[in-house]
Amino acid sequence: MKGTGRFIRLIGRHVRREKWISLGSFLVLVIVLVLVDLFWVASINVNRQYGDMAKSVAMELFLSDDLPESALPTLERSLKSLTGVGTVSFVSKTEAAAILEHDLGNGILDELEENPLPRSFVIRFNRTVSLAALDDLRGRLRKLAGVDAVEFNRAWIDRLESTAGRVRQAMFVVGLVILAVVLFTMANTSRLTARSKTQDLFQLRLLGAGPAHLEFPFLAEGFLSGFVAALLGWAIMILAAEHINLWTVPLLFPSPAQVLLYAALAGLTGMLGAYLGIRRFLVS
Amino acid sequence: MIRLDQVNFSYGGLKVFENLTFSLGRGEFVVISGQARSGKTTLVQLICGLVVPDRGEIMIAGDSIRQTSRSRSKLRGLRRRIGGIGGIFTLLGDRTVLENIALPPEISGLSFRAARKAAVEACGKYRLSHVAGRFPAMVSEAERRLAQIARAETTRKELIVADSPADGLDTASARFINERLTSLHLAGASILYITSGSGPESGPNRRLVLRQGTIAE
Repeated sequence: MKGTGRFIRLIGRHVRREKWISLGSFLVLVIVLVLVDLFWVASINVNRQYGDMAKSVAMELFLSDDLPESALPTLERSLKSLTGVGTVSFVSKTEAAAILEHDLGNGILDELEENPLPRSFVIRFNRTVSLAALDDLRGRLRKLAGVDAVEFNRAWIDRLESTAGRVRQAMFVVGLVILAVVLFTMANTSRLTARSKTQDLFQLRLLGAGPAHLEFPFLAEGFLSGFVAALLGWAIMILAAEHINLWTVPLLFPSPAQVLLYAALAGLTGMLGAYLGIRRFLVS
Repeated sequence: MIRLDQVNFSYGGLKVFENLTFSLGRGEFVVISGQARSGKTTLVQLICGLVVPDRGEIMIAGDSIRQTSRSRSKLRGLRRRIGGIGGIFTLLGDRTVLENIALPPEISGLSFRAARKAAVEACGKYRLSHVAGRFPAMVSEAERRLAQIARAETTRKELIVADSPADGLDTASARFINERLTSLHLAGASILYITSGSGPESGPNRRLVLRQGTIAE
C-alpha cells in the first residue's frame, strides 16, 4: 500500500458501500457521546462548586484568657505559615461580643458583669482542604499553648465531601456504561458490515489481500466514527449552551486539548469495538 | 509447480481423496476432468490452502502447503501467485468489473493509478470495456469469467487454477475463454484446468481424470 490517498480511498469506499449501517451507528455514537459530554460538563461544574464551597470553610481557634497579648503576633505568624492557610484574622473579645449581639440581638450581654467570650483567630484556606486534613490540623492546633478549643463545621464538610464522592462514583459508573455502549455499537456495526461482506472478504483472502484491504477499512471506520462523533457531540453541547440559557453562572467547559484527547480516546474505543466485531471474519 | 503426494482428505467421515498423487510442472497445462462430487472443488481448496490434508504433502512452487498455511503472511504470498477462475473464485460484488480487475495489482502494491491503467488495458484485451463500469451482478456469466482471467493476467500469475471456467457457457464464449487461457499458458503460466467436461481441444499438455478420490491418466 502506497500513499495516504489510497488509504482514504479504501475507507471512503468502505463507508460509502455500507452507508446506512455506518450512518446509523454514527448517530447512535453521537447521542451516546453527547451524554458523556453532559456528564463531563456537570462534573466539572459540580467540582468547581465543591471547590468554592470547600474554600469557604473557616476554622476558629479559641484562645485562653491566660494567653498574654504579647504572644498573639507570634501565634498569628505560626498559623499563617501552615500549608493551605490563606488568611488568619484576629477577633478580640469586644469584636466577638459585637458579632454575638449582631446575630442574637442587642443587650444580650448586658446583664453579665464582664464579657465571657474568648478571643479567637479565624483561619480561612486558599485551596480545597479535605476533612481528614482539617481533622489533622485541628489536632495539631489544639496542642498549641494558649489554645483552648478549635472548631469548624465538621458535619457540613462531611456532607459536602460525601456528596462529591457520590457524584464521582456516579460519573465512573456512567463512564463504564458508555464505554460499553460505544464498544458494543462499533462491534455490532462492524459485525453487520463484515457479515454482509463475508463473500467479498473471502475473495479478498483468496487474492492474498493483507490487513490493508481486510482489517484496515473496518478499524479506520471505527476510529473515525468515534473521533468525529465525539467532536460533533461537543459542537452540539457548545451550541446548546449558547442557545439554552438556564444557568445563573457561566458554565465551565473542558479545554480544546482535553476535548481532542477525549475524541482520540473515543476513536480508539471505536477502533477496538470494530476489531472485536470483525476478528472472527478474518481467519485465514 | 504443484505436487500432491499421497494426499488423504476427508470431510468428517466422508473420504474425498485417498492417496491422491499428482503433479503439474512449471509452465504445464493440465486438464483434470471429473463428475460432480468427485472432489474438484476440494482439490482447489487444498491448493489454495483453505483446507489442509489429513495426510500426505502438497507442495506449491516448492513450499509445503502445510507449513505455509500456518503463517498468514506466507499464505498471502502463496495466494498472490495463484490466479483463480470459476468455482470458489468470484468477483467482488461491491466493486465494478474494472475495480475487480485492478484489485490484484493494488494488493500486490502497485499504485492506484498504475493498477487502474493495467485494468483498463486488460478490459480492452478481454472485450470488457463496455461493461468495465458495471457491477458483476449486472454482466453476463461469460463476462464475469473473462473478468476473472483478466484479473489473473494483470499481475502475471504463475499458476492459474481454473475451476470449470467454460462449463455452461455458449460455444463462442467457451472458445474465447479457452483461447485466453491457452494464451496465458503460452506466456509462461502453469494452468490447472478443472472441468466436468473435456476442456479445451488444443493447448493442454496432459489430460487426467478425477475418479473415486484418485487421479488417473
